[in-house]
Amino acid sequence: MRSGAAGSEANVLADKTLVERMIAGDETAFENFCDRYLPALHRFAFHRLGRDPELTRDIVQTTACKAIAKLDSYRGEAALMTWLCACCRNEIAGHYRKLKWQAPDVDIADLEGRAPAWADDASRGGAEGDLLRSETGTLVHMTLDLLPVRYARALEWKYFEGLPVRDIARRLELGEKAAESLLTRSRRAFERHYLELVEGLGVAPQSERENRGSETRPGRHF
Amino acid sequence: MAKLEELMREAGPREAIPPGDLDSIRDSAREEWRDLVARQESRPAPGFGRYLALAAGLLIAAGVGWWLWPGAAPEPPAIVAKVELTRGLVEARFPDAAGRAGRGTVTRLAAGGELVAGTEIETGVSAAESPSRIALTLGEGVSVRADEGTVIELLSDRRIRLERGAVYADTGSHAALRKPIAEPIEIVTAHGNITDIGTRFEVRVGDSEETSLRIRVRDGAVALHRDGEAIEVSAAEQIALLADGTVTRTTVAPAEEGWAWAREAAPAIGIEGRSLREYLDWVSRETGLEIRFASAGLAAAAAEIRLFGSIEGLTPEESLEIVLPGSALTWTVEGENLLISDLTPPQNS
Repeated sequence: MRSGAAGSEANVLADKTLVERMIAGDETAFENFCDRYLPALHRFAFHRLGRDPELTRDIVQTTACKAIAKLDSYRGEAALMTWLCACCRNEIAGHYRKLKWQAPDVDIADLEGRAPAWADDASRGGAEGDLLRSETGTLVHMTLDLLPVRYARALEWKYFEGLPVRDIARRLELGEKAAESLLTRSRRAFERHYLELVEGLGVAPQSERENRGSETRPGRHF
Repeated sequence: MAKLEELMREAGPREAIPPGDLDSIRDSAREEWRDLVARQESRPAPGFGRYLALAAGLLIAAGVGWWLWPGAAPEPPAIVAKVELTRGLVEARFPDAAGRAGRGTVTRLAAGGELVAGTEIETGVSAAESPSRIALTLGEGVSVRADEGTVIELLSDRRIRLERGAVYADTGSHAALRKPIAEPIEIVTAHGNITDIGTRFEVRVGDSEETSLRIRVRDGAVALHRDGEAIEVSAAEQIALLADGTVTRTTVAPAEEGWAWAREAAPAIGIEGRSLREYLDWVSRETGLEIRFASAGLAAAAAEIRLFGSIEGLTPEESLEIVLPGSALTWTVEGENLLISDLTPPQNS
C-alpha cells in the first residue's frame, strides 16, 4: 500500500462536522458517533488490556465519557479516532500506573500482552492466536469497525469466507456490477482508514518494522 | 489487491464484542453527552457573559451612583489573570461593589476562570489530600504558581501582593512554546518588593519564625528593593531575610528538590501537533534537567517526530511515562541530565 499523510482532509472535516453537530445537540450525530467509534475503541483497548472484557468495558466507558465531556476541545488536527485512541491510552496508562503503585511486584510488561486463561480457545492455535493479538490484526479489525457496515461485510465475505462476487451481490441485494463497484469502494475506504490508523497511532505494521532502518523514524507519533 | 487480502487473512475474522458491553458504554456516553449539551445551552453569549457575574454588582452600584452624581458610569474591572490549573481547594475573594479588594463574593476557582484586579486568592492546606496549588497566567504571558497555604492579591496584570506562602514566577521566553519574553512583574511583600525581567524565581514569606522572606532564582535575576537599597539575586542563588534583619546568601541548583512544588503545579502544555523536541524543551524547563540524546541521529529525529494526544493533568515526570514509550524511547536521569535513548537499541544487521 502507498503511504500518505495522516488524517485525510475530507475525513477530518467530516469528523469536525460530526463533533459540531454532537455539541449542538443532534442526537443522530451522537448515535452515529457511537456506532462508528465505540466498537473500534473497544477493540483498541481490548488488545492493550490483556483481552480482559470487564476491564476493557470499564476503561472504554471512562474514555468515552471523558472524551465527550471535552469534545469542544477537539480541533480537528488529527482524525477523531486517533484523538479517541490517545484519550484511551491515557486511561490505560493511568490504570497500569495504579497497578504499579498497588502491586509493586507486578511486571507491567507482562500485564500488557497477557491473555487471560479463558481466551486460550482450542479453535485458535498458538500461531493464529498470536496474530490475533498482534498490533496489525487489531488495526485491521479497528479499520473494519470504522467502515460502513456494508463495506466491512463485503470485505469480510470476500476475504474471510472467500465468497465469489455473485454471492456477495446476492447477500447485499445488488447486481453483480454494483457489488463489484461496492467492493472497489470498500477496498479504497479500508486503505484510507487503515493508513490513518497506522500513522495516527504511530504503529508500524509488521513488515515495515522488519525493514525499518535504525536512525530515522518518520511519522512516529504518540 | 494482494496486500489487503494478505492483511485480512492474517488478521482473521473479528471477534464479536459483547453487545451488552457496548450498550452499557453507549448509555453512559449518552448521559455525558446530554450534560455537555446542557452546559453548552446554558452558556452566556460570547463577549458579554465573561463580565456578567463579576461586573453585575458593580454595574448596579454604578447605576445608582450615576443617578445620584451625573457622569459617566465606571467601566467593569479589567481581567488581569486567567486560571490555568488548580489542585485541591483554591478560593478567590473578589473585590466588592466599592472596589475594595477581597471583600466581595467568595468562589472556588477552576481552570479557565478569569480574574480581575483586587481579587484575593488563597490556597488551602490539607495534610490528608494532595496539596492545594494554583497556576495563573498574568497579563500577556507571565506564569505564576502559588504553593499551598498561600494568600496573594492581584494588584494588576504586572503586580502581585504576597501576604504569606510562596509564589513561583516564570517571566522568561518559552522557546518550546514560542512565546516572547513578557513584561517584568513585581511581587509586593511586607519585607520589600521583588522585580525581575526574564526570570524564573520563587518568593516565600513566613516560612519559619527565623526566616521572614526567602527568594530563590532558577535563571535570570531579580532585585529585592528594601529600605532604599536593591539586593540582587542571580541564577542558582537564594537569599533569606532573617527575623533579625540579616541577609544570608546560598546556592540552589535548578533541579533541586525544593522546586518540586512548582513543577507539580505546572500547567501541561498542549502536545498535539508539537514536535518531540518542543515537548522535551518544556520538560527541561520545568524540571531543570538538561536534555541529552543517546545519539546525534536521535537528536535530529526528535525535531521531526510529531506528537498527538494530551498530557493534561500530568506533571512533567508523569508525562514522560506516556510520551516517550509511545515513540519507542526511554529515559534515565543522570545527575543534572535527562538522557533520552531508544527503548530497544537498534540491531546491527
